[in-house]
Amino acid sequence: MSAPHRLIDPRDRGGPAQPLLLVRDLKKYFPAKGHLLTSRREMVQAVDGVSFSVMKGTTLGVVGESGCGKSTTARLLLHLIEPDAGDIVFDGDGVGDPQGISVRELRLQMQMVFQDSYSSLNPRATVADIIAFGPRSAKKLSPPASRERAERLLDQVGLQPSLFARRYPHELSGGQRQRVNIARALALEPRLLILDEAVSALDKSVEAQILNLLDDLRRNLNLTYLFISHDLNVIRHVSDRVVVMYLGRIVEAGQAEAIFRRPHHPYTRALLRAMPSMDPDRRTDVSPLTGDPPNPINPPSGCRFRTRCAFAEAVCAREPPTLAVIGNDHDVACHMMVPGSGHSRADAVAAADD
Amino acid sequence: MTDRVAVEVSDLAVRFRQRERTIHAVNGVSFRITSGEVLGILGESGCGKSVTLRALMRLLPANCEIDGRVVINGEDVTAAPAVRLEELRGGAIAMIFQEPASALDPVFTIGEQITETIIRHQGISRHQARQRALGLLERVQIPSARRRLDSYPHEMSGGMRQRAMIALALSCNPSLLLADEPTTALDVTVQIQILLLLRELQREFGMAVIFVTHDVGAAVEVSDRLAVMYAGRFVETGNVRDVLNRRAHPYTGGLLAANLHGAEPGARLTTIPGSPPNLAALPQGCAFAPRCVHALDLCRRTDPPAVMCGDRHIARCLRVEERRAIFAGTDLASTG
Amino acid sequence: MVDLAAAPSSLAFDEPQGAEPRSYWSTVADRLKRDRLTIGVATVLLLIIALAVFAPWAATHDPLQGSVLRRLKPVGTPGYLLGTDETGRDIWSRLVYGGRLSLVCGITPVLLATLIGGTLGLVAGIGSRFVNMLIMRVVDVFYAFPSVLLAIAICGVIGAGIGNTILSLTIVFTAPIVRVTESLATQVKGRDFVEAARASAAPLPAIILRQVLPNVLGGMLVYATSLVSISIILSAGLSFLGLGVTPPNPEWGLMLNALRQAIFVNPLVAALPGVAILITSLCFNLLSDGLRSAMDIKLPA
Repeated sequence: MSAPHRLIDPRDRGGPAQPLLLVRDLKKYFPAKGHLLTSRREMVQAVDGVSFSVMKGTTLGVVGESGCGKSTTARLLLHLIEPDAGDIVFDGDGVGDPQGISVRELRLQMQMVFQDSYSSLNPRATVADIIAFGPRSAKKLSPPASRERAERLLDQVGLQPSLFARRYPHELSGGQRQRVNIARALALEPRLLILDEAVSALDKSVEAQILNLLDDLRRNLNLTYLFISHDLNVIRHVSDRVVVMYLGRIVEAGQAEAIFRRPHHPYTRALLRAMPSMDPDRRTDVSPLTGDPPNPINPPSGCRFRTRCAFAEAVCAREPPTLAVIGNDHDVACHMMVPGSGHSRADAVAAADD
Repeated sequence: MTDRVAVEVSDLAVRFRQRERTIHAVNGVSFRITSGEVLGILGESGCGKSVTLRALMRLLPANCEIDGRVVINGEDVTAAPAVRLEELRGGAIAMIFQEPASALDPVFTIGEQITETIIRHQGISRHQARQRALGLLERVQIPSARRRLDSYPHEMSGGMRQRAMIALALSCNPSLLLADEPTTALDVTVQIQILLLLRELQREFGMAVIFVTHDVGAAVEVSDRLAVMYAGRFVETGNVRDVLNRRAHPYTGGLLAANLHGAEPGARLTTIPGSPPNLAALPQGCAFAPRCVHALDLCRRTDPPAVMCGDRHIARCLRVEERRAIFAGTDLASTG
Repeated sequence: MVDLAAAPSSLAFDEPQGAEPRSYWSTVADRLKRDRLTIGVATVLLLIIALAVFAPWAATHDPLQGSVLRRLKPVGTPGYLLGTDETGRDIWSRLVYGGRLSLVCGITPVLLATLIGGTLGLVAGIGSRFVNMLIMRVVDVFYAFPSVLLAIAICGVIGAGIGNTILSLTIVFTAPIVRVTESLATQVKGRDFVEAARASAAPLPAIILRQVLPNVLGGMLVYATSLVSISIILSAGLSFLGLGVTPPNPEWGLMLNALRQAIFVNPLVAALPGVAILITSLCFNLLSDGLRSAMDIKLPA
């Protein structure tokens, strides 16, 4: 699925060992609306200290439920929303650093594919115009040149230019629109593509087509992917490494196979067990979690998952767990996994180490 | 819970007449459910599954024509007058939706809405109705139910709103529950709770349920029988095990093969070529033929009849018989 | 199990819906063509505008030439189709010539206000919170005044005359246009395709011009058309009060004022300019409604 890329991109700066994207301690808080009468300003802690890296030529899957902050993270990376804290380093260059690269230069190397919706494409523009807009306006390509690039990209995403170039978004099906979304993202020749729920709104059979296309493109164009989704099946299928988010924090990170085969964090385990069974003879009997995800405005103190965790103890309310290494490229943020944390199960887990 | 027939639908057809064209949303759907049975209707967007559901309760706009017969609990609903339909809706027949906002009025509290419905259909006192409402909220596992009686829909989370909508639907002991993608918009950890809740309630209340979804997993979790829908028709109907394992109709096969559940990570996925047909211009013959690998010339010319291919297992395909002969003996339950 | 992977991929992605590309505006045009009320109203408006433009040919007499002998003749007098006014001038000819002034005073302010207000609204909608606050709070000040009073006040200060009328009305209409445009721009700004445009490192003017503006124009057009209908009445009102067009120019509002006394003598003739104002204003109003309906296209699900 993901051999390190053979060709070196001329823009490459640090070689295969250097992560293409490195994120350190990213934070974003939003003021909560309403409540004019409370003196305390309530903050939605949308992203609260998120760190991860994406190696070249690989796919990092970011999975979590609504309110976990994954979409906000995507927008923070592209500076569509300004981060409150944290560093973003692209191929060794800090974004916004005087010696690093500017946000504009970052955007020319990192693009985003949005979730298919009617608002993801300009309803008043033709497909060709939509794709050509980036090259024309940002890179100052001439109209014929950008038009030609648009048609080439349409071809690459499986849409015949003669049929589709002059069409409008409302004349396309969901799958076709999503291909246009992908073509638009590729128009600026990025090295890293962020896919924000890119297949979530599609029918399953169309989803399969688009996933195949994305795989082809990744190999042919030497791309790196950051794939965001709430759908575990999709994440498992596409990712080399996975990051699991809950209420603005990362709870587990590591190789995809390790996380799916032997999840450690209680939330990850619940998430995997919550997937519907495909065997009518072996249906789910008990729901792994009760209740709804808590309000991101007032997250629980300490470990944010503790209110729904079967193993929560006093230490979980006192101290937020940090991501700790528990195996080869497998990190978990849970007191149970860290010997000496104060959790009654911690030492037992360490003793029964796998 | 006797095995009497709760719903019997014969040749249901729904057409939307627009200025330049007619959309054939439903093209001859027939099925039968006994009370206490759950029928899952599985299909992709545009196949007509939601329209079918709404046609059962006559919740369609004025510009559509409905043909066919719908008999619910022995009563012919097709010919029923509007007044009778009003009595049935919310009473003996209840419906839950993908978006609770469709069912819950934003300006009334949950308690008020449930209480009003109970009073309207069962005529008991307000105090008693409120007690019933409280019981229902507890039954759908809404925490702090007493307090939630006085909550407005916007004050509740998505999962809780969904539960409130279920409570509202169950308030008058319906014998038939119509569920239109009720878990599609929910997070996976909430979805499984709602699916389990629906299963429990269905058993407890003895309702017949029709559960419409595009998610195979959700369908498998709740359904006893499964109907796969394509271009306004059921192309395969049967016991959920049989349909899943035997996949008599090529579309069922394609749909399940495209599912990521069994796929190997990183491997190329099997897809169904082409796209669904235009419901305003359906091709002659089998609607799936243009995309079917096994299509013969005959398939494109004649409408495939419903062929029996197992115990209460029907598929609309001309080649079912011969493929059954080919696959006889092979244990298809082991694949996928 | 059926193996569909063997299927030829040329079946893969098919065609878009519909035989020919249909842009949003061509769909709107089609819908308008089928809306008979709007077509009718548009025809009447075209007629009124044509009469005004070709006034020298449409009029039967010199609009400024009166005669004491022929004062206040009733409708249907031979030679004077709609009668004569209080100084003996032919009403029909004055209405036709008056159309020029009334239409100019009605349409021009809205055009100017749309240009100025539209630009401000776009900037306010797209710009930073500070810019938005700056523009919108100034607009709020203007909003505090009822439009009629504001128009009267401005004209009272700067004086009467066509130019001043247009100026005054332009000022009056700029504020509401800024508000409507800002609201539209804010809505469009939040949509994914605008975010995608921002993410493409395109310069802000390109984003405003190519992404936001085309999606805002429709709403602005509807609103502007409805404003024209108000503008016609307001300009007539200003002239009626002596703050707009000055006599002896034919202008519907002015004519109304002059014919006030004639109400007791010949009510029908006295009412005619009012009828002209009513019809024109109503037509613009209905046109605006028709446009709005035509543009409200529910996209296929």
